[in-house]
Amino acid sequence: MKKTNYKHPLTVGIFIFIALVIIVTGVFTIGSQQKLFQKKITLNMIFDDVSGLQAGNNVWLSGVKIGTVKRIVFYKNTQVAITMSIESMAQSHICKDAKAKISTDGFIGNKIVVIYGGTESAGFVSNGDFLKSEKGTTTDDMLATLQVNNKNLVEITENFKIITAKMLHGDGTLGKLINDGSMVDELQKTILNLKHASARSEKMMADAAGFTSRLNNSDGLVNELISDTVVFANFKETVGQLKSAVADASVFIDNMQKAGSQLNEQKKPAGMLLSDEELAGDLKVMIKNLKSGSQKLDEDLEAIQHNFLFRGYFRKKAKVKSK
Amino acid sequence: MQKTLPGSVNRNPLRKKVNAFFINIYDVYKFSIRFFKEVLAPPYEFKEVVRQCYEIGCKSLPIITLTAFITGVVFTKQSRPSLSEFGATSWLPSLIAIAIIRALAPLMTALVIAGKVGSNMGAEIASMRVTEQIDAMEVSCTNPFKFLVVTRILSITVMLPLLVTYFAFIGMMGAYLNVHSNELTSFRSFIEDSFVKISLLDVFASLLKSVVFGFTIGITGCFKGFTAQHGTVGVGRAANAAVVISMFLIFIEEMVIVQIINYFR
Repeated sequence: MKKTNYKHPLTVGIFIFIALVIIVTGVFTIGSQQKLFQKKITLNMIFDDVSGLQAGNNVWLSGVKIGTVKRIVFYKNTQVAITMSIESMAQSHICKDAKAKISTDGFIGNKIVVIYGGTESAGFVSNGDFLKSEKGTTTDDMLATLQVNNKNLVEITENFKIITAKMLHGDGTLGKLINDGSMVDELQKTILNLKHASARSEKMMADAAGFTSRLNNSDGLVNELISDTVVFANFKETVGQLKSAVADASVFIDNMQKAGSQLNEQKKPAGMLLSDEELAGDLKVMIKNLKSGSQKLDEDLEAIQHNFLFRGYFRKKAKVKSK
Repeated sequence: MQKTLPGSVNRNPLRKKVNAFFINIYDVYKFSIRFFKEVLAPPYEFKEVVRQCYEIGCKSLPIITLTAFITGVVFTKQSRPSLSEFGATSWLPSLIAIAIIRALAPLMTALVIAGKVGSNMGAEIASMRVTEQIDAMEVSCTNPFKFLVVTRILSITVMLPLLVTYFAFIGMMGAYLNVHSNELTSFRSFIEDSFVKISLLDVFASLLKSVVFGFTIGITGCFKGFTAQHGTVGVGRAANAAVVISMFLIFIEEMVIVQIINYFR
């Protein structure tokens, strides 16, 4: 009986199985990476210029790939309409007022669509919605800026060339400084003066430091004013009182001024007293009369004390005083 | 036996060659049509198909492993300096995956198999033809075309996509070892980066190419062997022609399929 050889079928079977496993794993890896087996929604945008964007390029939201560009067609005359296939999972993260721009994956990478911005209050996108588009910074823009920079650089170097030529020829201050020997001497003198000045300023600074250290002395008035709250409060109170005293003095001086002005007025009694000579003469006479009158009254009163009608009264008064 | 068109006299050597070329194409066409007729018609030679699968597929594994691994490592090493010039070594996995899965795996596998199996098929069948073993099979009521040709073509057409898959896997592993040793890239990161630019269309195109290449190698090898003449010299010629024509056709087909696939991309 012929014995069946199972070696070949088994080996072939294992080989086919392993190869199929590799194929299936590869297909699922690609599928999961490109989100081929997930539910998707469609979003649209209209651009003036897509800068070489192609179907299949990635769509990013906050740096995360959420879909791909599905279709690019012309819209109206010059515009381009883009249809994007977006994971439905990302739908709740794209606001209706979000914007989209075309960017690049790295400096030399593929073109991508970047969705950004938007406010939650506007709500979230739904299938078939249109997003606002904005012109992104393209490589051409960057090159244009670089071109401007290059022109500026050329201009700067040309100016620098002129400056260095002048310097070499001894034109201008710098040129003289480089080429003129006397300028060097002057400069050396200036530097020497500066050296002296700096030495003096150093000394001055040392003095100032000593002064400030004295100010910082704990027994000093300034230090107490700064650090002692009680002294400061008293000082403040004193200043307040001084302030009110000054105010009172001001009022007093005003009154004095007023009184002084009234004294100068001859019609007023005080002014009349001070400046009217006639009144002064009358007053002199009056005082003279009063003086002679009071002498005579004194004599009269002395005489009354010795009168028998009042003698008894004065004796009683003397007795009470002696007791 | 040299074939000529009925009633024609081939005095001009160029005309003779042109005629022979078109006659040859017609013969290949008839050979292919016969294959499709025979492959569907019973009886089915399963055991011979499995044996041929083993001979073509399993016995080719060592050379495919070596070729794939070296291809992966060398391609990575050669690509690195160009990418590192502008600081894009992180693109190595993606670049290698595109190169291996889209182009290198089907092409290199087909070329290796054309060299190893195609020549073997041509020589084996040709030797059977010149030693009249095929005639003996016909006499003994065994269909030599079904037993020798159909089984081989079917086996190589089935096994080549699997060998291509295996080539791609080993090639990527070789590339990973090189990338890991130089850039310390993790396996997961390497795989994630590798498949960034690969789509299912690429995988499908690669498998389609390998099926076409397998069929081409099988048809060419078997046709050259089956139509071998002039004794042992004819065996050598058949083996040589099987390899050369297979390789030539593989490159032509590669170019045509790439154009077709790019249309759908």
